[in-house]
Amino acid sequence: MAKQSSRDRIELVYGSLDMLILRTLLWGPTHGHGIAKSIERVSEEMFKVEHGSLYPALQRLQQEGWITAEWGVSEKNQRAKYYRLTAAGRRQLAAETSRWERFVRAVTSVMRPAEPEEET
Amino acid sequence: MNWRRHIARIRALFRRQKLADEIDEEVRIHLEMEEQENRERGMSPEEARYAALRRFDNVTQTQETSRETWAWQWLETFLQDVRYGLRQLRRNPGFTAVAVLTLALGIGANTAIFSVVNAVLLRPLPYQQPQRLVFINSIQVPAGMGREASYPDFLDWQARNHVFKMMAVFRTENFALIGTGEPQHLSGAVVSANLFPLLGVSAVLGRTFQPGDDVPGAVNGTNALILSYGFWQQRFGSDPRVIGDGINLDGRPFTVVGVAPPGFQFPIQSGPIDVWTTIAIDKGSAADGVATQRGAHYLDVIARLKAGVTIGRAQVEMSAIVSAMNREHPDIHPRGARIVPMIDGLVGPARVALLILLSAVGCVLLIACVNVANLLLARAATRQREMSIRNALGASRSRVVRQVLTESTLLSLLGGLLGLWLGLRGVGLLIRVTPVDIPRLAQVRLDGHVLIFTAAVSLLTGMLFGLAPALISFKSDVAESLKEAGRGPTSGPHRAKTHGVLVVVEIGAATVLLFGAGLLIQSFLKLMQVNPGFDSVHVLSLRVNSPGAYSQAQQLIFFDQVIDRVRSLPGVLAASGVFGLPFSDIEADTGFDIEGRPVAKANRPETNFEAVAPDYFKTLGIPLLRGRDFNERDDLQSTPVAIINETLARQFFPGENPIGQRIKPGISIGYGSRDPMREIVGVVGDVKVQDLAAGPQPQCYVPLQQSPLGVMSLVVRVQGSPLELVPAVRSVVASTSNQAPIYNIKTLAQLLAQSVAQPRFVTLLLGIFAALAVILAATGLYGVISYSVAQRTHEIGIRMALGAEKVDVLKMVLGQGLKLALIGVAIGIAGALALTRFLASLLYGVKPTDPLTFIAVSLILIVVALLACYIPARRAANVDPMVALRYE
Amino acid sequence: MIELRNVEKSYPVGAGRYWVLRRIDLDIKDGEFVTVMGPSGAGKSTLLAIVGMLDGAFDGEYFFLGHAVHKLNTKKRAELNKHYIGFVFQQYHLLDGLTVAENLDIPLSYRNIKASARQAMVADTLDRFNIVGKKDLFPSQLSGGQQQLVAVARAVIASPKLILADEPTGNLHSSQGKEIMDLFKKLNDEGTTIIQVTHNEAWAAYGNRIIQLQDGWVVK
Repeated sequence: MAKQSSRDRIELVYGSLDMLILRTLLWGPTHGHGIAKSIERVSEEMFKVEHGSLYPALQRLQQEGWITAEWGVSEKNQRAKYYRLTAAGRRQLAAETSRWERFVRAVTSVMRPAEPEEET
Repeated sequence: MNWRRHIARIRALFRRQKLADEIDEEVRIHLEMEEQENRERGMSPEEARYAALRRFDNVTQTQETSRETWAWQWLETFLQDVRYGLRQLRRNPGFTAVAVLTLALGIGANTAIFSVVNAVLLRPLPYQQPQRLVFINSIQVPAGMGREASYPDFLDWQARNHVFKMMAVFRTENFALIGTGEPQHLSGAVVSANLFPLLGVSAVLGRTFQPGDDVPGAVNGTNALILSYGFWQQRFGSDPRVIGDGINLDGRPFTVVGVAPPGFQFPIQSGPIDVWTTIAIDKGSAADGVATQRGAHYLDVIARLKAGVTIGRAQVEMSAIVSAMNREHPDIHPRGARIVPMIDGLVGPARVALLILLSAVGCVLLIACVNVANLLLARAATRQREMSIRNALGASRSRVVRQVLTESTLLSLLGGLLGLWLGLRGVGLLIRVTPVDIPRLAQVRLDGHVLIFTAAVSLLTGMLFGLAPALISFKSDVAESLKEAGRGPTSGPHRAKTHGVLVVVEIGAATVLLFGAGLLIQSFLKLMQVNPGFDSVHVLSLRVNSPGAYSQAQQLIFFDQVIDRVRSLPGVLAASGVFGLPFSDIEADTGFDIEGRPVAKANRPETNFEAVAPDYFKTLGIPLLRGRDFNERDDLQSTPVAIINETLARQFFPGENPIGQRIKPGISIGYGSRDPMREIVGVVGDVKVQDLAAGPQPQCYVPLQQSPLGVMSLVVRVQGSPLELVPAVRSVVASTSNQAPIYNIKTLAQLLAQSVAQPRFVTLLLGIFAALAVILAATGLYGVISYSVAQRTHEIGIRMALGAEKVDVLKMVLGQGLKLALIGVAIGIAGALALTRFLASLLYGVKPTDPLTFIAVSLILIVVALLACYIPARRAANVDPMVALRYE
Repeated sequence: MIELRNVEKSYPVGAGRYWVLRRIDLDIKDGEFVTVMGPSGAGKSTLLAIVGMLDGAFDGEYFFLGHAVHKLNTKKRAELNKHYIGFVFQQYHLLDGLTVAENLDIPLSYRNIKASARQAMVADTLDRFNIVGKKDLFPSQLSGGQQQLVAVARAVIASPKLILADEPTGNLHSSQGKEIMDLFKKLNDEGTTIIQVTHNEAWAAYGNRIIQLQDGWVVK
């Protein structure tokens, strides 16, 4: 897989990392490394996730009660902490998603405002 | 941040190490996984490791931040600051003791006064929705004096208004409980039947009054009576069978219908009440039915506002009603109605005094704060280096400021704790020396409000006095202060300036207080010099009721006999009787006509009215200026006579001989419905009636024998101590009738002293606070000058080497202190000028801008300032130049 | 002018005494320029303080212009100091909070001189030392040499008969030091008696006599 040049990578908007983590965990419990890899894979490496920034976020989400953590064993027989989405986390994700969609719609309409005016 | 997160954090506090370890382990596992993946992609082990680390970004920082999400960083820092602060305070016990004590004095004084203010002014009245309760005062127009309304007026008000849910009347009355043995005096209240529902109070046993109880003989042909809880316990041993019992008061039968709940008190302005009965006793009594006379203003009116009605709206409506009534009754003196919130009506006069005292203790606290701030500043100087090192080590400035503030807050909390104790002790003392006429004072106690107040004051003071040193440590440049601390002696001019400013503030505040105290003291001394018009020494007074069943003629004989028998007791110089004794809270005023000068009834002049027995003037030492005293022959059968005072004579008979002139006072008892013309037979000196500060007013005396009343004050002039005569008087009364209670036994001197108890109280307290303020300000000045001398040792050494003698150094240091003192005094006087007008209502015979007080206060403060500076100045003068010059 | 007879100074240390000065006999005549030398702690500064009336706690006899100083109280000694003596210190000892002109005024302010006269004297001195342009500056705005110049000016402003200079050039570059020493020479030529303490042989040579102190003894 060809690497994106770092210039094209998008810096994560503050707070959107939380959403991405929750979204990733929707597919099932996984550990920190797995979450990082998954986000990179799904975003086709558009998102630059410093692996380091993942862990404070994971602690935060735990405190909010959106995810829980449990020690488990990985597919490669390694001890690892697995994170699981809670019901509250699911609700939070739904809310975040709809808010995000509204945001995108708003930005999109602002970015091309001239078109309807020309038609009138 | 929600509660769940807080709980997670609280739990985390207890398993921090485990959490930290787990995070570290997670990060390690992550790196291993990434490394392994990289190796699988074909990187060398070394490369794989570095790539993983790079990809992770800052490992240590991640571990830090991850851990920190679990902690209240601020809480931990705070606890650390507290620990450090406590250690600092322990390490400087002298400093800590002085600071804590200073603050405790300030906070204690505030706690004491605030708990009084809280009990008297702030705590809600113990009735339902007390904020809707108002007094309606019936006032004379246009003078604005007066308070009581007549019963017919009250009935009209009640019927015509739309703004009050309920309206009731009340007055106090003294009863004699007639049973076996000596009659017992009872404090009673006469109220309209709706008073209890108006207050929202129900009986703890039986019932309260019903509407029908206002009619005479409503209960089994007698009047209804409610007992106070205390009286029920004490007299009836809490026997519930008391309901329905008959009780004989003043020889009249009453029926007990209920017992009031414990703690219930009404009216509040009087002492505890034993029994309540209804207005019915004023309707059918032999005394012409005072409740039927529209001109008899003798009842207080209380009302409850309807929901949503403001005082303003109620006032508008009442004013309209009263105007209409004035038009309907042209022969009655026009009246007005003034609505006063109940709490204001109760504590009105005390409010100003209490607020002034509260400001005064605020001032004391300010000075205490400044003192501690100065101490902290001086200490901050020695700790400058520590702060600078902390700064240099990267502590943020806000962090250093927080540290300093934490310490000062600790100090203030310690001071607050001690202050709370001092304050409560002080309140106890206060209540003991306080006049009884501050309502609700007895209810002073420690409650949540006082605690919150003290805590808030402590925290606030901590911030206040901590701020100056904190800001200075904030301002100081790191490199600069490191250098400065190294250099020592001649450093820190800005700090010296701050000290100076603080001391000026202190002295200014002390000046204001001392000035206020000076004015009050002068005013009080002037008040004490006022001649009341009578000689109060060696005079005993006591109140006697004639037996309730006596006719007017029997009453007269009874009082005559009592006075005669007392007069013949050994040691008695003179004895007499009077209806309303001066300074006893009983007084009557009336309009009067002068023969040959007809005026409309509404425009009649007013005079104070008094019924006295023969020898009254002799007994009280009131000079008889013209004519004669009353004698035994002045009775209902002889010519109606009157004696007037000097002021009435001067005002209404200028240049004439008033003797032989005739006047007709608007009060008369015993002559049926027509007031008789009275011939003036004498002129006596003016007497102060209730208030030493009041100006002279017209007074008119009539013979007690021509105005038969059921109660009088016996006055006895004795040779020795008046109170020693009490048993003899008691047995005289008892032997005359076993149904006549004696009460309110006081010497005339006591009554007089009681009338100035409140000014005495305020003056005493303000004096104490002013003294405290001056002492604190003096120690503050002493501290600052001492500190300055220590700082200037080197300079003083140089000056001595250059020819300064001890005297020069002494002068220099005293001059420095004097300069601060003078600026402070000047500012203080300016402040005092702006503030003393609030004192004006408490002053008698002294202007709020009294120049003598200004001069005296300034001199006192300057002398005190010089004394405070003298010790450090001496120390400066004794500096050894050799030592001082080497001091580097 | 100055006669010290068997002057001694000591502090009690434990059971014994620590001697700062021992059996000093010294005569200094009007108009002399004397240099006191010796290692640190030899008692040089103490000797100056005693001579300058700052230190009265010594044994022996000290006559100054015929006054028996050892019999005088602190106040009388301070008066002698005021009338006859000017001090110059190694650390200049100017007062930081005062301007150059105000510093010069200090000795005058303690000498019962009218304000107008004092102004004139300050102006004269500023002129004489060529520091008129600096009169409103604060000490911190001056170089070390300039500060010492002001300090010397302050020492002579009240026309003392005797100037006591305790390592006046100790903190100065040699060029600055020379300037100050030339100044002392000039003052000495004009009749002022000068006693200086120095470690510098060259500066010592400005004087007409050298007194060597060691452990409180005059050794030469």
